[in-house]
Amino acid sequence: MALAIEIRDLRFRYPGAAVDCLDIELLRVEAGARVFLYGPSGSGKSTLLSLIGGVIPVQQGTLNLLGKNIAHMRPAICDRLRADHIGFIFQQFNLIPYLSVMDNVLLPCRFSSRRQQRALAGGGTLSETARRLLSHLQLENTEHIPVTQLSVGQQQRVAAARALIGKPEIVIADEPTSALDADRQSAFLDLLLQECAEANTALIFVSHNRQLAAQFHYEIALPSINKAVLIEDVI
Amino acid sequence: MNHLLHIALRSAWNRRLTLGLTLVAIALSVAMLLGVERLRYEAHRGFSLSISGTDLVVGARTSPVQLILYAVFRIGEATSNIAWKSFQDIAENPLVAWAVPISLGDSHHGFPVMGTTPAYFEHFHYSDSRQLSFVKGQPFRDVFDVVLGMEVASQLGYVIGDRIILSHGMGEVGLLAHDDKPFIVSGILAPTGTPVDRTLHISLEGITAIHLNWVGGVPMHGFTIPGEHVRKFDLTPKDVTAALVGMKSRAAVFKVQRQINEYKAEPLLAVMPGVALEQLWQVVGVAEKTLLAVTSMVVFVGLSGLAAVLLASLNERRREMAVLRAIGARRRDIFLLMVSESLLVTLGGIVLGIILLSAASLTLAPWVQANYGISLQPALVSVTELKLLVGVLVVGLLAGLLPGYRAYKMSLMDGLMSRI
Repeated sequence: MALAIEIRDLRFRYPGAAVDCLDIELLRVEAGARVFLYGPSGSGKSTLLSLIGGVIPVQQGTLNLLGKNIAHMRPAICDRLRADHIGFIFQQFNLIPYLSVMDNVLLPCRFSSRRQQRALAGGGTLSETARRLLSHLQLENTEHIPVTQLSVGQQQRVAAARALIGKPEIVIADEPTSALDADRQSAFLDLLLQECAEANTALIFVSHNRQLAAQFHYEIALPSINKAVLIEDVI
Repeated sequence: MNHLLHIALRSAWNRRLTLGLTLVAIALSVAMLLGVERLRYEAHRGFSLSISGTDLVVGARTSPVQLILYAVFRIGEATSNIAWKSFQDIAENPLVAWAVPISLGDSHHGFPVMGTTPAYFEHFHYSDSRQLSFVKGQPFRDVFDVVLGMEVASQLGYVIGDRIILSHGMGEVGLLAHDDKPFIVSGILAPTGTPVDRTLHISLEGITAIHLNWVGGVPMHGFTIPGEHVRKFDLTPKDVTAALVGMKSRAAVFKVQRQINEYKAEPLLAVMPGVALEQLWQVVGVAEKTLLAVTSMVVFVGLSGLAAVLLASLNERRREMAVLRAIGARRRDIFLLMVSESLLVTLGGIVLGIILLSAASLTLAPWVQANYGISLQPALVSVTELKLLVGVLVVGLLAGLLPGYRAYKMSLMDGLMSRI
């Protein structure tokens, strides 16, 4: 099976820090896999996600993104890879406050022509594709509401629509449910998993709530030493 | 690039109050900068067009600038006059085609009164060799006839046949009136856009007549000569203020100028109007440069405000930058986003500034014309102004560089993990 992400012998240390922030021998995410990444705060999760996104440069080791090693790649090319292949959902404040719901959802298509082409491949215009995605995420008739007037749950779903538009190979969700109450957490997770499965998108779901781990293929933990440890292989 | 501009526009609109105020500040400073430049240009143009066809202006020895100022522009006063005999000598010079004497010193409601000969209306030219023309009436014939400039007539509401009283000296209040000898309006000149419009023209004999019973600047006590009797006196002037001289051939200008400057009987000065104006610009140039520097500083202050506003907004926009980065914005895009916002506001300020200036010059044009004799023409942006505006835009670009660079550094530091 093709690998979405492969990390080997990756070490990362912030300038001036005494110890490595990350030290990962091997971490693999297959295409279309659902991965639950568990780690308490300070375990280097965000650093790992920034490295995968190519937002901060790899210092040592290999980080293959869809078969391409992004270590030592030029920042602009990393940015292109991120725009083309990765969708992000954060804990909160995902949306650009001065853009409409529609403009927020379509942002990735503005930065990546590949995402735009893939969004158009399903037939129909960009806004039709966005509207379809929004209705799948139970956000009918929200496209003209200012994003600041949406509830937190709605905002997170708009962020999910934005991460999913143009069918990127990887979606990284960084504690996307922690601002939601328990009922909405599982509802949001169901919708997200469903949409990722439909697009055959690998989902890396970061959370400290291990109760959610049940719905994932496998779980990777980042214990305090910040090494990636495979806990349980469901596949 | 297009989507960045769209984002920048929406983002700017989102903070329209602070950016709007900054934009207004920039607009005002731009209007000021262009206004100063436009006034300077119009003043130069107005002065250059005020006299043409006159080869030499002759007066008592003083500085060329001062001579041209009082003889042509009625600014300031002559310190001394030239004798009638001297004028006659100049007029009789075989190289001289014509000479017109002028006599200044009296006024009417603040407008200068000028004594001259009917030849003035024939030989005085302005703009590009345009002659004076009458909208109504004719040149003065009688001793107590007066020909009005257009502005005098329209501001004071005079028509042909009106009787007016002249005052002794310049100014508006506290002047002694020549009320024993009223003048009658015989003609009104067409507008010229030059000091002629603000002048009352009477004959030299008229000037002599109203001062017949005056000694040392005041009327002789208990002694008046009624207007109807003045014609019994010899009204040939004893002196005049200055003379406008035209040559038979322009090649003779330098020779005649030297002859006049070396005139034995009294110290005289002959200047070529163009040369004197050039000297005037050199004097005024320092003030103009200072004014330009001050207004440039004002623009600079406005644009510094813009940089400050953009810098202050960066912290609250950290999250926004991180989200844009996550979506695929390059580091360069974050930089460009800030710079384009700065450019947008600067551009908006420039456009609003031009509109403000046009509105102001339309409203204030009559007032400036009346008070300073500068005619503000409604005009599009000139080449010089365009250069200034490009300069403003460049400084606006520079003002965006610092916030742009800060945002760039911030987004490098934050990565995806800015959680505010």
